Amino acid sequence: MDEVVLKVKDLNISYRTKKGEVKAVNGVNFEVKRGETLAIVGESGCGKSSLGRGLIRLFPRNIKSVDGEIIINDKNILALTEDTFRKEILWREISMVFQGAMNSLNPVLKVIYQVAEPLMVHYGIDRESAFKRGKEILSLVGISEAFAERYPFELSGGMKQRAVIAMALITNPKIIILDEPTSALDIITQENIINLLKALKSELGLSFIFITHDIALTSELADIMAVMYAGEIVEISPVEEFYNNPSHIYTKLLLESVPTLKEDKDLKSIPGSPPSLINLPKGCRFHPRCPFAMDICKTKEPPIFRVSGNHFAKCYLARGDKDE
Amino acid sequence: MEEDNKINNEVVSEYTLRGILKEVLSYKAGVASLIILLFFLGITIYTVVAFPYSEAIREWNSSSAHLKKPRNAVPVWWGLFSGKNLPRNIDVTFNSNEGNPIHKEFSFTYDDFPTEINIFFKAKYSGDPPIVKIYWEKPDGERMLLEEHTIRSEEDTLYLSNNFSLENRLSTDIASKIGKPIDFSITVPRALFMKYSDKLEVLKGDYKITLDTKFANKNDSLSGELVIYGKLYGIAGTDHLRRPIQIALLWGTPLDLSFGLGASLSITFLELIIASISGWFGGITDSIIQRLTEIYMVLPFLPIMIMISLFYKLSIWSLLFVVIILSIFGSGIKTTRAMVLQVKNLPYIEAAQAYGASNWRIIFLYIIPKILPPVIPNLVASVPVYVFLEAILALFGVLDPTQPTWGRVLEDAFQNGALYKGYVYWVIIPSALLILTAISFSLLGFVLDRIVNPKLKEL
Repeated sequence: MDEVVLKVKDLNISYRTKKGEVKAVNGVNFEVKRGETLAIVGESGCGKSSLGRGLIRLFPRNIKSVDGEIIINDKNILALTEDTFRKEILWREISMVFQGAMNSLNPVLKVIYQVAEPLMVHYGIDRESAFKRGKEILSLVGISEAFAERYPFELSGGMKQRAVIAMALITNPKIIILDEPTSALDIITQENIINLLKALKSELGLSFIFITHDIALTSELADIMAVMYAGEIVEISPVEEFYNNPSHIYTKLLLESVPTLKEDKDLKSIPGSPPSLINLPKGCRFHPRCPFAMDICKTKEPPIFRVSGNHFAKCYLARGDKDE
Repeated sequence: MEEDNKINNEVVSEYTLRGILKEVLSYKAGVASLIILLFFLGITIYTVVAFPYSEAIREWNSSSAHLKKPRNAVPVWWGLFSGKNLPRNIDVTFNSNEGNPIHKEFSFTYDDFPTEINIFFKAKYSGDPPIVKIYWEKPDGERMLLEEHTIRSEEDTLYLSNNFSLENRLSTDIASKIGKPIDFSITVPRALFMKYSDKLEVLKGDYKITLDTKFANKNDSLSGELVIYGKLYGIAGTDHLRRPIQIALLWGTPLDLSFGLGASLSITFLELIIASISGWFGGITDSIIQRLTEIYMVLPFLPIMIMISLFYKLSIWSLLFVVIILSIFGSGIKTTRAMVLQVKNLPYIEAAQAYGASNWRIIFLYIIPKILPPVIPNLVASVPVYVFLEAILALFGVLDPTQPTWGRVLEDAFQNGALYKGYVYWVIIPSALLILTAISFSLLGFVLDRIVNPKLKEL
């Protein structure tokens, strides 16, 4: 269980736009072990999706630079050629469930065709056996065989989402990136999908990278929580520690802004809006919105402090009593 | 989940071919267009099955096959509107075996005079040729010698109506019989079938022709056919070369429609593919295709077509090829590319890209099916454009004249001043077919547009 399946070292991704360089992902480091789920939370536009797509090298056309290492199977996938990456890593080792599953299916192809397509594309398996395998996977995610031969518009939102998950599962990858897999679904269906993902995790020993803006949803699935702000991971921690002892001010404020069932509390909002990724503030990127900002925050970028064990935070106030 | 697993079959049926047909038929315009299309389909099947193309081409281009048909005859049904009983062809065959002299009787009960009278002889002789004396007997008993004709060859034709000496003789004769000044000219057919009065009127009744042959040799024989040319022929009349126009109209249907369909199908799909490539790959590919399209759009299409057709003798199929080549970088590329740009960032295309689908797989399996529906009505509606293009080029006289097409008929009519001479049928029938084609395909295009673009339904 301790095998590290994905390791990201100093990943930087930047885009070219007319207004200037957009630094979408900055110095991101993390690793994911087999069977572990890493949840990445953050506001819109903080670089979550860029990171998720970066992990499968799905860059937009205006990509400027990608530095760092993404290590899967002891290989730095950023150093591989496009062709080897496609043939050896993509979908065999790591696959992705896209944002807005409602639209992630081609309306003119039958569900089974699309679910089985990665098999046909990557393994060159003939249509018949690919379809057979596709039906197995579909029943694994709870779609009956009768629906395999249907078109996407005949499926409900939850079923489409299941089909897209089946598509990501069909090649038996070790890691699945879930990019907002439950957005645009109602709360009951969300719960169903999360339960499905939990079941898959324990049955198949999958590692998930769960990207979401819904911090409440992550608590059910995640083993490790990472908070992104302005392209950086500002805090990363095992899940219990994360909720019990949030260390970065941003994380604290974020958790205070989420309603909980157990206690009756006033919800707080974080004033201001996230900085533009073109024009990042000096020092700590959160300091313009931080109620506890000190002088050092405005001038010097905080290093990453170890709070305890595997709990790291990028905030001077998280330094606590311990050493760096 | 239970709820989810119910299958709704009604929704699905709408998207099958039968479902689409059903929907087309729910519009009156759709019914009308399908009726017209079925009519054309019927003509096509009948023509292809009953009248082989090689035979049609041979008949259309042969000068001798139509000698016994009337020149510029109107269609039979057209004659019904004239209010008169117009003459049809009368063929009288004769053979010297039946005895000499040969007497033949026929009745003439039409209201109008025939156009021409010819006798086609077939003779067999050794030594001196036979000499034929031709007598004409009118219903009132008047008998006259028309001609004493010496057979000139084994196959000989006596053009009675072109015989000026006969015409002169008959007209002075008739003028003296009437004894009054007359305000019409007397031609041979008129002289032979008229009442002797100052009004031009047909004498109806039984006519008799007698051929008294003098053979030089006992074994000589003479047979042949007397043809009295009428004014009615077939379903579409005949042209200036006595060719039945129906040949061209019948075969023009499959030729013109396949030309139109072929051009519009191949141009639409090639444009679709090129535009998808342009939109999907972007960058330099896109720039090259777009600049090329702009150059193509500036070129004047029709003048270039005419120029090419003048330099190279084009058959309808090579014309089709040239039209396709000259049209694939048309303005359709611009609109289709715009649609591709809209579609290319759709999540499911991104997803396909993510799991490693190749560019071509994405273009053919993801992009083209997505942008196809709005293109189909245009495809259907542009069929008549190419049918008309063929007609226009034919009208300019730059297409292969041996191929019977609708445009060809119009060109002949135009060249021979059909409208000035009153041969209205010659222009109206092919024009009507062209217009029917335009109407049916346009209506079908509109209806399909309504079906595949649901936004229009709300209007």
